[in-house]
Amino acid sequence: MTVIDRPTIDFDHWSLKYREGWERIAAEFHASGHPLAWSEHHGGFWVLASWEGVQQVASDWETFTSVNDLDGTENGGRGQVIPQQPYRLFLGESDPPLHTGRRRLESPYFAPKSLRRWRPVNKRFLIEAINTVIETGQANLIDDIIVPTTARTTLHLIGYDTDDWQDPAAVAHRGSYLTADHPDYPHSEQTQMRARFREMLVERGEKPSGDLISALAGGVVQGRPLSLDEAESMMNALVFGGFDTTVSLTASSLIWLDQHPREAARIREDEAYRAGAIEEFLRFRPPVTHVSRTAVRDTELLGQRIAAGERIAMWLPGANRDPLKFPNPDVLDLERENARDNVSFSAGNHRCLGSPLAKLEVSEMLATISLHLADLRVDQGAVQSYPSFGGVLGYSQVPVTFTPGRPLPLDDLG
Amino acid sequence: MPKITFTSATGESRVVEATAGDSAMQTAVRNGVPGIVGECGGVLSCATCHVFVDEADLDRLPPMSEIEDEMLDGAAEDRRANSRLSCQIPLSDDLDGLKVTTPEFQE
Repeated sequence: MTVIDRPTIDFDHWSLKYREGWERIAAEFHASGHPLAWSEHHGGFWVLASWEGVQQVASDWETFTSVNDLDGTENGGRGQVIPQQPYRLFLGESDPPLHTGRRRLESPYFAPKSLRRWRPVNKRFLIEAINTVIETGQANLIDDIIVPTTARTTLHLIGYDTDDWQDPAAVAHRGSYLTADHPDYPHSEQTQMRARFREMLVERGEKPSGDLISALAGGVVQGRPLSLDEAESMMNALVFGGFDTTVSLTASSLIWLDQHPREAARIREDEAYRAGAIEEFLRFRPPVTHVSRTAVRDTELLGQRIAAGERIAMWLPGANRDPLKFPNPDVLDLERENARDNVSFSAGNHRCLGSPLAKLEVSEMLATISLHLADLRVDQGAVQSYPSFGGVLGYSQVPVTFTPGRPLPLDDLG
Repeated sequence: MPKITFTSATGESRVVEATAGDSAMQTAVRNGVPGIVGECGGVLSCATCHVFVDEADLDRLPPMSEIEDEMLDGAAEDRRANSRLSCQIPLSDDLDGLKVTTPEFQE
Protein backbone atom coordinates (compact mmCIF):
# COMPACT_ATOMS: atom_id res chain seq x y z
CA MET A 1 0.00 0.00 0.00
CA THR A 2 1.29 3.49 -0.80
CA VAL A 3 2.22 5.58 2.19
CA ILE A 4 0.58 9.00 2.00
CA ASP A 5 1.64 12.30 3.57
CA ARG A 6 0.44 12.69 7.10
CA PRO A 7 -3.02 14.29 6.83
CA THR A 8 -4.08 16.55 9.69
CA ILE A 9 -7.36 17.49 11.29
CA ASP A 10 -8.28 20.19 13.81
CA PHE A 11 -10.02 17.77 16.16
CA ASP A 12 -10.58 18.14 19.90
CA HIS A 13 -13.38 15.93 21.18
CA TRP A 14 -13.57 17.99 24.42
CA SER A 15 -14.18 21.29 22.56
CA LEU A 16 -17.35 23.29 22.03
CA LYS A 17 -16.75 23.01 18.29
CA TYR A 18 -16.95 19.23 18.58
CA ARG A 19 -20.05 19.36 20.75
CA GLU A 20 -21.83 21.68 18.32
CA GLY A 21 -20.95 19.90 15.12
CA TRP A 22 -19.48 16.43 15.44
CA GLU A 23 -21.80 14.99 12.80
CA ARG A 24 -20.56 17.53 10.24
CA ILE A 25 -16.94 16.89 11.26
CA ALA A 26 -17.53 13.16 10.68
CA ALA A 27 -19.12 13.72 7.26
CA GLU A 28 -16.26 15.95 6.12
CA PHE A 29 -13.65 13.59 7.51
CA HIS A 30 -15.07 10.68 5.53
CA ALA A 31 -15.49 12.87 2.43
CA SER A 32 -11.74 13.63 2.61
CA GLY A 33 -11.05 9.99 1.76
CA HIS A 34 -8.58 9.65 4.66
CA PRO A 35 -10.52 8.94 7.85
CA LEU A 36 -7.23 8.70 9.75
CA ALA A 37 -5.55 12.03 10.46
CA TRP A 38 -3.28 13.68 12.99
CA SER A 39 -4.61 16.16 15.55
CA GLU A 40 -2.23 18.45 17.45
CA HIS A 41 -4.52 18.73 20.48
CA HIS A 42 -3.69 17.06 23.81
CA GLY A 43 -0.06 16.45 22.86
CA GLY A 44 -0.93 15.02 19.46
CA PHE A 45 -2.88 11.91 18.48
CA TRP A 46 -4.32 10.11 15.48
CA VAL A 47 -8.07 10.37 14.94
CA LEU A 48 -9.49 7.20 13.40
CA ALA A 49 -13.01 7.14 11.91
CA SER A 50 -12.68 4.21 9.53
CA TRP A 51 -14.90 1.32 10.63
CA GLU A 52 -12.43 -1.22 9.23
CA GLY A 53 -9.57 0.65 10.87
CA VAL A 54 -11.30 0.49 14.24
CA GLN A 55 -11.73 -3.28 13.88
CA GLN A 56 -8.03 -3.60 13.08
CA VAL A 57 -6.77 -1.42 15.93
CA ALA A 58 -9.17 -2.89 18.49
CA SER A 59 -8.18 -6.45 17.57
CA ASP A 60 -4.42 -6.02 17.32
CA TRP A 61 -3.51 -5.54 20.96
CA GLU A 62 0.07 -6.63 20.34
CA THR A 63 0.62 -3.47 18.24
CA PHE A 64 -1.93 -1.13 19.83
CA THR A 65 -1.81 -1.39 23.60
CA SER A 66 -4.51 -0.33 26.06
CA VAL A 67 -2.06 -0.13 28.96
CA ASN A 68 -1.92 3.10 30.97
CA ASP A 69 1.69 2.90 32.07
CA LEU A 70 1.55 5.60 34.71
CA ASP A 71 4.72 4.58 36.54
CA GLY A 72 6.75 3.86 33.41
CA THR A 73 7.44 0.23 34.23
CA GLU A 74 5.51 -1.42 31.39
CA ASN A 75 5.27 -0.55 27.69
CA GLY A 76 4.81 3.23 27.70
CA GLY A 77 1.10 3.00 26.83
CA ARG A 78 -1.03 6.00 27.72
CA GLY A 79 -4.37 4.37 28.32
CA GLN A 80 -7.87 4.49 26.91
CA VAL A 81 -8.64 8.19 27.29
CA ILE A 82 -7.12 11.27 25.63
CA PRO A 83 -5.80 13.17 27.53
CA GLN A 84 -4.12 10.46 29.59
CA GLN A 85 -5.89 9.91 32.93
CA PRO A 86 -4.09 9.84 36.28
CA TYR A 87 -6.16 6.94 37.65
CA ARG A 88 -5.48 3.57 36.08
CA LEU A 89 -8.31 1.35 34.99
CA PHE A 90 -6.75 -2.05 35.57
CA LEU A 91 -9.26 -3.91 33.42
CA GLY A 92 -9.81 -1.50 30.54
CA GLU A 93 -6.21 -0.37 30.52
CA SER A 94 -4.50 -3.74 30.27
CA ASP A 95 -3.77 -6.23 27.49
CA PRO A 96 -4.20 -10.00 27.22
CA PRO A 97 -3.42 -12.35 28.85
CA LEU A 98 -3.65 -10.31 32.07
CA HIS A 99 -6.76 -8.54 30.75
CA THR A 100 -8.37 -11.89 29.94
CA GLY A 101 -7.76 -13.13 33.47
CA ARG A 102 -9.26 -10.04 35.05
CA ARG A 103 -12.27 -9.86 32.74
CA ARG A 104 -13.06 -13.48 33.40
CA LEU A 105 -13.96 -12.60 36.99
CA GLU A 106 -16.77 -10.29 35.83
CA SER A 107 -18.07 -12.01 32.67
CA PRO A 108 -20.39 -14.54 34.35
CA TYR A 109 -22.40 -11.68 35.87
CA PHE A 110 -23.36 -10.52 32.37
CA ALA A 111 -24.10 -13.95 30.88
CA PRO A 112 -27.70 -14.74 29.84
CA LYS A 113 -28.60 -16.69 33.00
CA SER A 114 -27.46 -13.74 35.14
CA LEU A 115 -29.36 -11.26 32.98
CA ARG A 116 -32.51 -13.23 33.71
CA ARG A 117 -31.99 -12.33 37.36
CA TRP A 118 -31.32 -8.65 36.65
CA ARG A 119 -34.32 -8.12 34.35
CA PRO A 120 -37.06 -8.10 37.04
CA VAL A 121 -34.78 -6.11 39.36
CA ASN A 122 -34.36 -3.44 36.69
CA LYS A 123 -38.12 -3.41 36.07
CA ARG A 124 -38.81 -2.91 39.77
CA PHE A 125 -36.38 0.01 40.01
CA LEU A 126 -37.93 1.54 36.90
CA ILE A 127 -41.48 1.31 38.25
CA GLU A 128 -40.35 2.68 41.62
CA ALA A 129 -38.74 5.64 39.84
CA ILE A 130 -41.84 6.26 37.71
CA ASN A 131 -43.96 6.17 40.88
CA THR A 132 -41.95 9.01 42.41
CA VAL A 133 -43.26 11.38 39.74
CA ILE A 134 -46.37 9.78 38.22
CA GLU A 135 -48.83 11.85 40.27
CA THR A 136 -47.15 15.18 39.51
CA GLY A 137 -47.42 15.32 35.72
CA GLN A 138 -43.87 16.53 35.23
CA ALA A 139 -40.32 15.25 35.63
CA ASN A 140 -36.71 15.50 34.56
CA LEU A 141 -36.34 12.14 32.83
CA ILE A 142 -32.62 12.02 33.65
CA ASP A 143 -32.56 12.64 37.39
CA ASP A 144 -36.02 11.33 38.25
CA ILE A 145 -36.28 8.15 36.21
CA ILE A 146 -33.34 7.05 34.06
CA VAL A 147 -30.45 7.64 36.48
CA PRO A 148 -32.13 6.02 39.52
CA THR A 149 -33.18 3.00 37.44
CA THR A 150 -29.81 2.34 35.82
CA ALA A 151 -27.67 3.29 38.83
CA ARG A 152 -29.61 1.04 41.19
CA THR A 153 -29.57 -1.86 38.71
CA THR A 154 -25.81 -1.60 38.33
CA LEU A 155 -25.28 -1.31 42.09
CA HIS A 156 -27.56 -4.30 42.72
CA LEU A 157 -25.58 -6.42 40.26
CA ILE A 158 -22.31 -5.46 41.92
CA GLY A 159 -23.58 -6.01 45.44
CA TYR A 160 -23.65 -2.37 46.61
CA ASP A 161 -26.51 -0.94 48.66
CA THR A 162 -29.07 0.13 46.05
CA ASP A 163 -30.65 2.73 48.36
CA ASP A 164 -27.29 4.52 48.45
CA TRP A 165 -27.30 5.39 44.74
CA GLN A 166 -27.25 9.20 44.77
CA ASP A 167 -23.55 9.73 45.51
CA PRO A 168 -22.15 7.24 42.99
CA ALA A 169 -24.60 8.50 40.37
CA ALA A 170 -23.65 12.14 40.92
CA VAL A 171 -19.94 11.36 40.77
CA ALA A 172 -20.36 9.25 37.64
CA HIS A 173 -22.37 12.02 35.99
CA ARG A 174 -19.76 14.73 36.55
CA GLY A 175 -16.87 12.40 35.84
CA SER A 176 -18.40 11.69 32.44
CA TYR A 177 -18.24 15.14 30.98
CA LEU A 178 -15.30 16.80 32.73
CA THR A 179 -11.62 16.07 32.17
CA ALA A 180 -9.53 15.28 35.23
CA ASP A 181 -7.81 18.70 35.02
CA HIS A 182 -11.12 20.61 35.26
CA PRO A 183 -11.65 22.48 38.57
CA ASP A 184 -15.11 20.93 39.03
CA TYR A 185 -13.96 17.37 38.38
CA PRO A 186 -15.15 15.29 41.36
CA HIS A 187 -11.71 14.20 42.60
CA SER A 188 -12.44 14.28 46.32
CA GLU A 189 -15.81 12.57 45.92
CA GLN A 190 -14.19 9.86 43.79
CA THR A 191 -11.49 9.38 46.40
CA GLN A 192 -14.14 8.93 49.08
CA MET A 193 -16.07 6.47 46.94
CA ARG A 194 -12.92 4.47 46.23
CA ALA A 195 -12.11 4.28 49.93
CA ARG A 196 -15.62 2.90 50.43
CA PHE A 197 -15.03 0.38 47.62
CA ARG A 198 -11.87 -0.83 49.37
CA GLU A 199 -13.72 -1.28 52.66
CA MET A 200 -16.40 -3.31 50.92
CA LEU A 201 -13.82 -5.46 49.13
CA VAL A 202 -12.12 -6.27 52.43
CA GLU A 203 -15.51 -7.06 54.04
CA ARG A 204 -16.54 -9.36 51.19
CA GLY A 205 -13.12 -11.01 51.17
CA GLU A 206 -13.82 -12.09 54.73
CA LYS A 207 -17.49 -12.86 54.17
CA PRO A 208 -18.26 -13.61 50.50
CA SER A 209 -21.89 -13.30 49.44
CA GLY A 210 -21.89 -14.40 45.81
CA ASP A 211 -22.03 -10.92 44.34
CA LEU A 212 -19.56 -9.30 41.97
CA ILE A 213 -17.71 -7.52 44.78
CA SER A 214 -17.13 -10.93 46.37
CA ALA A 215 -15.88 -12.31 43.05
CA LEU A 216 -13.33 -9.49 42.85
CA ALA A 217 -12.40 -9.78 46.52
CA GLY A 218 -11.63 -13.49 46.14
CA GLY A 219 -10.45 -13.25 42.54
CA VAL A 220 -7.40 -15.12 41.28
CA VAL A 221 -5.56 -13.93 38.17
CA GLN A 222 -2.73 -15.85 36.59
CA GLY A 223 -2.38 -17.92 39.72
CA ARG A 224 -2.20 -15.04 42.21
CA PRO A 225 -4.88 -13.20 44.18
CA LEU A 226 -6.25 -10.04 42.56
CA SER A 227 -4.69 -7.10 44.41
CA LEU A 228 -6.80 -4.58 46.28
CA ASP A 229 -5.68 -1.87 43.80
CA GLU A 230 -6.85 -3.99 40.88
CA ALA A 231 -10.14 -4.90 42.54
CA GLU A 232 -10.85 -1.28 43.53
CA SER A 233 -10.14 -0.10 40.01
CA MET A 234 -12.41 -2.75 38.48
CA MET A 235 -15.20 -1.89 40.88
CA ASN A 236 -14.63 1.78 40.11
CA ALA A 237 -15.05 1.11 36.38
CA LEU A 238 -18.24 -0.85 36.94
CA VAL A 239 -19.81 1.87 39.06
CA PHE A 240 -18.57 4.96 37.22
CA GLY A 241 -18.43 3.56 33.71
CA GLY A 242 -21.36 1.28 34.07
CA PHE A 243 -24.48 3.31 33.70
CA ASP A 244 -24.05 6.92 32.58
CA THR A 245 -23.66 5.57 29.06
CA THR A 246 -26.95 3.72 29.32
CA VAL A 247 -28.57 6.88 30.64
CA SER A 248 -27.38 8.82 27.59
CA LEU A 249 -28.60 6.29 25.06
CA THR A 250 -32.02 6.03 26.69
CA ALA A 251 -32.36 9.81 26.82
CA SER A 252 -31.33 10.42 23.22
CA SER A 253 -33.69 7.68 22.04
CA LEU A 254 -36.64 9.09 24.00
CA ILE A 255 -35.90 12.61 22.73
CA TRP A 256 -36.01 11.35 19.14
CA LEU A 257 -39.09 9.20 19.69
CA ASP A 258 -40.94 12.19 21.15
CA GLN A 259 -40.88 13.65 17.65
CA HIS A 260 -41.71 10.35 15.93
CA PRO A 261 -44.89 9.02 17.55
CA ARG A 262 -45.51 6.31 14.93
CA GLU A 263 -42.13 4.72 15.62
CA ALA A 264 -42.60 5.23 19.37
CA ALA A 265 -45.85 3.26 19.29
CA ARG A 266 -44.25 0.44 17.32
CA ILE A 267 -41.30 0.33 19.71
CA ARG A 268 -43.66 -0.20 22.64
CA GLU A 269 -45.46 -3.06 20.93
CA ASP A 270 -42.93 -4.91 18.78
CA GLU A 271 -39.95 -6.38 20.64
CA ALA A 272 -37.99 -7.41 17.53
CA TYR A 273 -38.42 -3.95 16.02
CA ARG A 274 -37.34 -2.42 19.33
CA ALA A 275 -34.16 -4.53 19.42
CA GLY A 276 -33.22 -3.38 15.92
CA ALA A 277 -34.09 0.22 16.73
CA ILE A 278 -31.80 0.20 19.77
CA GLU A 279 -28.90 -0.89 17.52
CA GLU A 280 -29.58 2.04 15.21
CA PHE A 281 -29.91 4.48 18.11
CA LEU A 282 -26.55 3.14 19.29
CA ARG A 283 -25.04 3.67 15.84
CA PHE A 284 -26.50 7.12 15.43
CA ARG A 285 -25.75 8.65 18.83
CA PRO A 286 -23.19 6.49 20.59
CA PRO A 287 -22.71 7.48 24.23
CA VAL A 288 -18.94 6.93 24.28
CA THR A 289 -16.93 9.33 22.16
CA HIS A 290 -13.57 7.64 21.93
CA VAL A 291 -11.37 4.83 23.11
CA SER A 292 -7.66 5.19 22.57
CA ARG A 293 -4.64 2.97 22.09
CA THR A 294 -0.88 3.56 21.96
CA ALA A 295 1.27 2.02 19.22
CA VAL A 296 4.07 0.03 20.83
CA ARG A 297 5.98 -0.40 17.55
CA ASP A 298 6.22 1.32 14.21
CA THR A 299 3.38 0.12 12.05
CA GLU A 300 1.13 1.01 9.14
CA LEU A 301 -2.60 1.66 9.29
CA LEU A 302 -4.76 2.48 6.26
CA GLY A 303 -1.59 3.21 4.31
CA GLN A 304 -0.35 5.62 6.93
CA ARG A 305 2.86 5.24 8.95
CA ILE A 306 2.22 5.18 12.69
CA ALA A 307 5.28 5.58 14.90
CA ALA A 308 5.88 3.70 18.14
CA GLY A 309 4.59 5.78 21.04
CA GLU A 310 1.90 7.60 19.03
CA ARG A 311 -1.67 7.48 20.23
CA ILE A 312 -4.74 6.57 18.20
CA ALA A 313 -8.22 7.68 19.22
CA MET A 314 -10.80 5.28 17.89
CA TRP A 315 -13.55 7.81 17.27
CA LEU A 316 -16.57 5.57 17.75
CA PRO A 317 -19.30 8.00 16.56
CA GLY A 318 -17.09 8.74 13.54
CA ALA A 319 -16.69 5.06 12.68
CA ASN A 320 -20.45 4.60 13.00
CA ARG A 321 -20.81 7.23 10.24
CA ASP A 322 -18.40 5.46 7.87
CA PRO A 323 -20.28 5.37 4.53
CA LEU A 324 -18.21 2.38 3.41
CA LYS A 325 -19.91 0.38 6.17
CA PHE A 326 -23.22 2.18 6.66
CA PRO A 327 -24.75 3.63 3.46
CA ASN A 328 -26.37 7.06 3.99
CA PRO A 329 -24.84 7.16 7.47
CA ASP A 330 -26.50 10.44 8.47
CA VAL A 331 -29.96 8.96 8.06
CA LEU A 332 -31.44 7.35 11.16
CA ASP A 333 -33.11 4.20 9.84
CA LEU A 334 -34.59 2.07 12.61
CA GLU A 335 -34.70 -0.93 10.26
CA ARG A 336 -31.12 -0.56 8.99
CA GLU A 337 -29.94 -4.05 8.09
CA ASN A 338 -26.44 -3.89 9.57
CA ALA A 339 -27.03 -1.46 12.45
CA ARG A 340 -25.80 -4.06 14.92
CA ASP A 341 -22.33 -3.75 13.41
CA ASN A 342 -22.01 -0.39 15.18
CA VAL A 343 -18.87 0.03 17.28
CA SER A 344 -20.55 1.98 20.07
CA PHE A 345 -19.42 -0.66 22.57
CA SER A 346 -15.93 -0.66 20.99
CA ALA A 347 -14.64 -3.91 19.48
CA GLY A 348 -12.14 -6.69 20.10
CA ASN A 349 -11.11 -7.91 23.53
CA HIS A 350 -12.22 -4.75 25.28
CA ARG A 351 -15.71 -4.65 23.80
CA CYS A 352 -18.04 -3.51 26.58
CA LEU A 353 -18.74 -6.38 28.91
CA GLY A 354 -22.00 -4.81 30.03
CA SER A 355 -23.56 -4.39 26.59
CA PRO A 356 -26.24 -7.08 27.11
CA LEU A 357 -27.30 -5.42 30.37
CA ALA A 358 -27.31 -1.98 28.74
CA LYS A 359 -29.56 -3.21 25.93
CA LEU A 360 -31.88 -4.94 28.39
CA GLU A 361 -32.24 -1.73 30.40
CA VAL A 362 -32.73 0.55 27.39
CA SER A 363 -35.30 -1.84 25.94
CA GLU A 364 -37.28 -1.90 29.17
CA MET A 365 -37.22 1.89 29.53
CA LEU A 366 -38.23 2.57 25.91
CA ALA A 367 -41.12 0.15 26.23
CA THR A 368 -42.29 1.20 29.68
CA ILE A 369 -41.80 4.91 30.28
CA SER A 370 -44.13 6.23 27.61
CA LEU A 371 -46.58 3.41 28.30
CA HIS A 372 -47.15 4.45 31.90
CA LEU A 373 -46.62 8.20 31.63
CA ALA A 374 -49.68 8.99 29.52
CA ASP A 375 -49.39 11.68 26.84
CA LEU A 376 -45.66 12.01 27.54
CA ARG A 377 -44.07 15.02 25.85
CA VAL A 378 -40.46 16.15 25.98
CA ASP A 379 -39.96 19.89 26.37
CA GLN A 380 -37.50 19.91 23.47
CA GLY A 381 -36.48 23.54 23.99
CA ALA A 382 -35.42 22.87 27.58
CA VAL A 383 -33.28 19.78 26.92
CA GLN A 384 -29.73 20.34 28.15
CA SER A 385 -26.86 18.22 26.96
CA TYR A 386 -23.50 17.89 28.67
CA PRO A 387 -21.21 20.93 28.33
CA SER A 388 -18.67 18.66 26.63
CA PHE A 389 -19.02 15.41 24.70
CA GLY A 390 -15.37 14.42 25.14
CA GLY A 391 -16.20 11.53 27.43
CA VAL A 392 -19.90 10.83 26.99
CA LEU A 393 -22.49 12.29 24.65
CA GLY A 394 -25.00 12.82 27.42
CA TYR A 395 -27.76 14.95 28.90
CA SER A 396 -28.27 16.67 32.22
CA GLN A 397 -31.88 17.83 31.73
CA VAL A 398 -34.69 16.23 29.75
CA PRO A 399 -37.87 17.88 31.12
CA VAL A 400 -41.13 16.11 30.33
CA THR A 401 -44.81 16.58 31.02
CA PHE A 402 -47.55 13.95 31.08
CA THR A 403 -51.07 13.36 32.33
CA PRO A 404 -50.83 12.55 36.07
CA GLY A 405 -51.75 9.00 37.04
CA ARG A 406 -51.99 6.66 39.99
CA PRO A 407 -48.84 4.89 41.30
CA LEU A 408 -48.21 1.54 39.66
CA PRO A 409 -48.40 -1.72 41.60
CA LEU A 410 -45.10 -3.40 42.49
CA ASP A 411 -46.53 -6.70 43.70
CA ASP A 412 -46.31 -8.62 40.43
CA LEU A 413 -42.71 -7.67 39.61
CA GLY A 414 -41.02 -10.55 41.39
CA MET B 1 -14.13 -24.02 1.64
CA PRO B 2 -15.50 -25.95 4.63
CA LYS B 3 -19.25 -26.50 4.75
CA ILE B 4 -21.11 -26.36 8.04
CA THR B 5 -24.71 -27.37 8.72
CA PHE B 6 -26.73 -25.33 11.21
CA THR B 7 -29.95 -26.96 12.38
CA SER B 8 -32.45 -24.95 14.37
CA ALA B 9 -34.20 -26.14 17.52
CA THR B 10 -37.28 -26.81 15.37
CA GLY B 11 -35.33 -28.97 12.93
CA GLU B 12 -34.75 -26.65 9.97
CA SER B 13 -31.29 -27.13 8.48
CA ARG B 14 -29.12 -24.79 6.51
CA VAL B 15 -25.76 -25.54 4.92
CA VAL B 16 -23.33 -22.62 4.80
CA GLU B 17 -19.98 -22.39 3.03
CA ALA B 18 -17.54 -20.89 5.49
CA THR B 19 -14.39 -18.91 4.93
CA ALA B 20 -11.47 -20.83 6.38
CA GLY B 21 -10.25 -19.04 9.49
CA ASP B 22 -13.66 -17.65 10.43
CA SER B 23 -15.30 -19.08 13.51
CA ALA B 24 -18.59 -20.96 13.34
CA MET B 25 -20.17 -17.96 15.12
CA GLN B 26 -18.84 -15.46 12.56
CA THR B 27 -20.01 -17.73 9.75
CA ALA B 28 -23.51 -17.85 11.20
CA VAL B 29 -23.75 -14.11 11.84
CA ARG B 30 -22.35 -13.14 8.42
CA ASN B 31 -24.77 -15.46 6.66
CA GLY B 32 -27.82 -14.47 8.69
CA VAL B 33 -28.27 -17.87 10.29
CA PRO B 34 -30.92 -17.42 12.98
CA GLY B 35 -30.36 -18.76 16.49
CA ILE B 36 -26.87 -17.38 17.04
CA VAL B 37 -26.38 -13.88 18.45
CA GLY B 38 -22.65 -13.43 19.12
CA GLU B 39 -23.18 -10.23 21.07
CA CYS B 40 -19.55 -9.85 22.23
CA GLY B 41 -18.05 -10.55 18.80
CA GLY B 42 -16.12 -13.62 19.86
CA VAL B 43 -14.20 -12.64 22.99
CA LEU B 44 -15.84 -15.10 25.37
CA SER B 45 -17.90 -12.74 27.42
CA CYS B 46 -21.55 -13.18 26.41
CA ALA B 47 -22.37 -16.89 25.86
CA THR B 48 -24.88 -16.06 23.12
CA CYS B 49 -23.36 -18.28 20.41
CA HIS B 50 -24.09 -21.54 22.20
CA VAL B 51 -24.46 -24.62 19.95
CA PHE B 52 -24.92 -28.35 20.39
CA VAL B 53 -22.32 -30.17 18.32
CA ASP B 54 -23.20 -33.40 16.50
CA GLU B 55 -21.79 -36.25 18.63
CA ALA B 56 -19.81 -37.59 15.67
CA ASP B 57 -18.00 -34.25 15.32
CA LEU B 58 -17.06 -33.61 18.94
CA ASP B 59 -13.62 -35.18 18.72
CA ARG B 60 -12.72 -33.08 15.69
CA LEU B 61 -12.98 -29.81 17.63
CA PRO B 62 -10.21 -28.07 19.53
CA PRO B 63 -10.35 -28.68 23.29
CA MET B 64 -12.49 -26.43 25.42
CA SER B 65 -10.71 -23.71 27.42
CA GLU B 66 -11.52 -23.07 31.07
CA ILE B 67 -13.13 -19.72 30.21
CA GLU B 68 -15.39 -21.27 27.58
CA ASP B 69 -16.35 -23.87 30.14
CA GLU B 70 -17.22 -21.16 32.69
CA MET B 71 -19.21 -19.11 30.21
CA LEU B 72 -21.26 -22.11 29.06
CA ASP B 73 -22.62 -22.35 32.61
CA GLY B 74 -24.27 -18.97 32.02
CA ALA B 75 -25.81 -19.76 28.62
CA ALA B 76 -29.54 -19.09 28.32
CA GLU B 77 -30.42 -22.71 27.57
CA ASP B 78 -28.84 -25.26 29.90
CA ARG B 79 -25.62 -26.77 28.62
CA ARG B 80 -25.32 -30.41 27.65
CA ALA B 81 -22.34 -32.74 27.18
CA ASN B 82 -22.04 -31.63 23.53
CA SER B 83 -22.34 -27.88 24.18
CA ARG B 84 -19.76 -25.46 22.76
CA LEU B 85 -19.55 -21.75 22.13
CA SER B 86 -19.37 -21.43 18.37
CA CYS B 87 -16.95 -18.47 18.56
CA GLN B 88 -14.39 -20.99 19.78
CA ILE B 89 -14.72 -23.24 16.72
CA PRO B 90 -12.35 -21.95 14.03
CA LEU B 91 -13.34 -23.46 10.70
CA SER B 92 -10.90 -25.13 8.35
CA ASP B 93 -11.07 -27.82 5.68
CA ASP B 94 -10.45 -30.32 8.47
CA LEU B 95 -13.86 -29.43 9.85
CA ASP B 96 -15.69 -29.72 6.52
CA GLY B 97 -19.12 -31.24 7.10
CA LEU B 98 -19.43 -30.07 10.71
CA LYS B 99 -23.00 -30.25 12.03
CA VAL B 100 -24.32 -28.16 14.90
CA THR B 101 -27.77 -27.47 16.33
CA THR B 102 -28.73 -24.09 17.74
CA PRO B 103 -30.63 -23.89 21.04
CA GLU B 104 -34.19 -22.66 21.28
CA PHE B 105 -33.01 -19.35 22.71
CA GLN B 106 -29.72 -17.52 23.34
CA GLU B 107 -30.86 -14.63 25.51
